[in-house]
Amino acid sequence: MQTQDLLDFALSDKKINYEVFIDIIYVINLNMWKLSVSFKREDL
Amino acid sequence: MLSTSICGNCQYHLKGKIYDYRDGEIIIGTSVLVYSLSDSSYKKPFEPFDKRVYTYLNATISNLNGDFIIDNIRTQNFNLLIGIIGYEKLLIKNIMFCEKDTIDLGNIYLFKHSSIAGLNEYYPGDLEKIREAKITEFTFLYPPKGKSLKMKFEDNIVKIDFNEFLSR
Repeated sequence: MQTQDLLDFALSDKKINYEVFIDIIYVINLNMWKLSVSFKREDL
Repeated sequence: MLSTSICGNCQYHLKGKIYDYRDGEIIIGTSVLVYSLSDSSYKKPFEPFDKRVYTYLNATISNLNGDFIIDNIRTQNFNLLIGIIGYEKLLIKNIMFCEKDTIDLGNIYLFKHSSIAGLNEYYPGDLEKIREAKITEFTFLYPPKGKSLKMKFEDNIVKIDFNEFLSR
């Protein structure tokens, strides 16, 4: 499943199974990681 | 096009402090490498990272307080690679000294290898353990701004608490 699909699921009220939830957790985590790096670069 | 400019008489300085992203502890002994990209590689902006030619200029490690200082940098723009075993490497490209001769990078956060931020007890490649334990609540931490985001799996629906993330 694509990252955007997973994020759409996270923001909707659609019912999903636990496996998909864990996939969402994983991509959110990656997104936070990128967010942190870009913050530091903006900070230069 | 960017090019590396060497200044014979100029000396630039770089400093910062290195932390673990997850627990906020300082990290001692982190390698901090300053290098310039060769002129030939600047002419090939889409060349794969590992094919490029770099010149190492200076290096240090973070001290007992997690601080590092690099003096005697003689090029006005450079790249920085920060890394230590067990953590993801952090690459910062095209840092440039402009009016000031010192750059303070401030607090730099490194991520443990293959770790999910905000998990207290599990690290994935431990995704399997997380599945087995059926963990249904996660808190993501965002230390640079002191924010957090909570996600919960309830009745087969994802519930997200943005309040702490959005609040000032």
